[in-house]
Amino acid sequence: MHNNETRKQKYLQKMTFTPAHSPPTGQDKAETDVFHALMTAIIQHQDKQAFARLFGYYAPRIKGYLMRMGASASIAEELAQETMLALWRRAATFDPAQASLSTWIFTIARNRWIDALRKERHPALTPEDALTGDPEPEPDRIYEQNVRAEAIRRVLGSLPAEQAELIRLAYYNDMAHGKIVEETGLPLGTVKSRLRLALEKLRRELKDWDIDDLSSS
Amino acid sequence: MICHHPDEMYLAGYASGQLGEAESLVIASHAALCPVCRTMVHDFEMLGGCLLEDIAPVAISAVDIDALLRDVIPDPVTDNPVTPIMDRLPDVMRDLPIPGPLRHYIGNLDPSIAWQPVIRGLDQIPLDIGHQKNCKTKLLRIKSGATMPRHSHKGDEFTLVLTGAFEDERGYFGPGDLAISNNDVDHRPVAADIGDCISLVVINDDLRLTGPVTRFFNPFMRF
Repeated sequence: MHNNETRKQKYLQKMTFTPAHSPPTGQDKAETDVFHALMTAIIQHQDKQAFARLFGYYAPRIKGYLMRMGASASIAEELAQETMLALWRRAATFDPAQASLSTWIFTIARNRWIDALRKERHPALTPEDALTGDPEPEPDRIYEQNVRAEAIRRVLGSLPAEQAELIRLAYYNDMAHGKIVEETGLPLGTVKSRLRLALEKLRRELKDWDIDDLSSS
Repeated sequence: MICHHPDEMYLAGYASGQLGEAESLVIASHAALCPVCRTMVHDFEMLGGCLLEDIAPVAISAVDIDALLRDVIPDPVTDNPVTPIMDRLPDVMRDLPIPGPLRHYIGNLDPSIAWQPVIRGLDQIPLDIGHQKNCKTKLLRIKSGATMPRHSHKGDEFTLVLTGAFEDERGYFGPGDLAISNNDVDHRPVAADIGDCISLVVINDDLRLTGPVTRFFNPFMRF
């Protein structure tokens, strides 16, 4: 199909070579520390200024994320507000040992989206589930979360642009594969195998990542 | 020891919120029992968090934060984390090992609910999960040592073994193992002789019976 071919060429042209060791994407350590301090102020003092600052950073990003998930601008904005309100009400339940702040907010936004657009719930894994199975040694979990998040940011930044883009498309498009095929003009089989490769690469690099390397950098 | 795990695409789909509720339930229930997959799910959620930081922000209309927070009322749906309701398990399930994510859904069942016969050696308890058309969830019980009719699938079938075990052409599935069949699999599960095999099953479309005799029963097999 001529249209598919043109789209495919355009897509491939957009993908430029990314050097192997890019700087991490997303928040840097200084920003993350500030946001954690803001959360502490909210939890301990119900600090509205602190909440306003978190709102200013996260609400527009939640809106952007939900729009990429298929929500209209107005619904995305409404859900972004609801997500931040849920953060305010549930601030005391935030456990940095379980997840980073961005991860926690992502899961709240994701669940609001599932509820609002699909009228379904997201079956949750709870911390109690971690108690089933083999007991594991207890490292400093907050430290581990931050370091793991950093590892993911770096790995994401180091993936070839095409692979990183496929991961983004997969996360943001509901029932991904059909829409990725539309957007990229690539045949479905190719999309699926590249996505699988991208995820495998992410997973391998996470496994190989030496946490000690990161902690000393 | 758990040997059969879902492909990481399903774990990513669960973490990113794109799997339907029934499939999410069976994936989450497996992950609750499997530290390897649970870690993978957590990493995929973290990936979601990193992508959230990375995404181009879209402007929000001006908000009066004081006004917003002044009128905040607790919202039972979003505020209460889903908690398992252990003391409300139906009588027939009290002795079963039920993973956390599944306990919440089962806790809402009628306490006197009973196993419903399907065919000889096979009983079920249907569960009402999610809103996807043609997606059915149930607990299945295969009697110890019983052989199931040979069948294939038009869609996907997810089978998470909770207790007991079954074997088919793809291998041996014990507690915690998750078997995923797509529409190219034609199989005949046999329950191991170690006790009833009880599984959480999600089916994406109607099963087709393919064995020589049971093919004739297809119109009646709407389970």
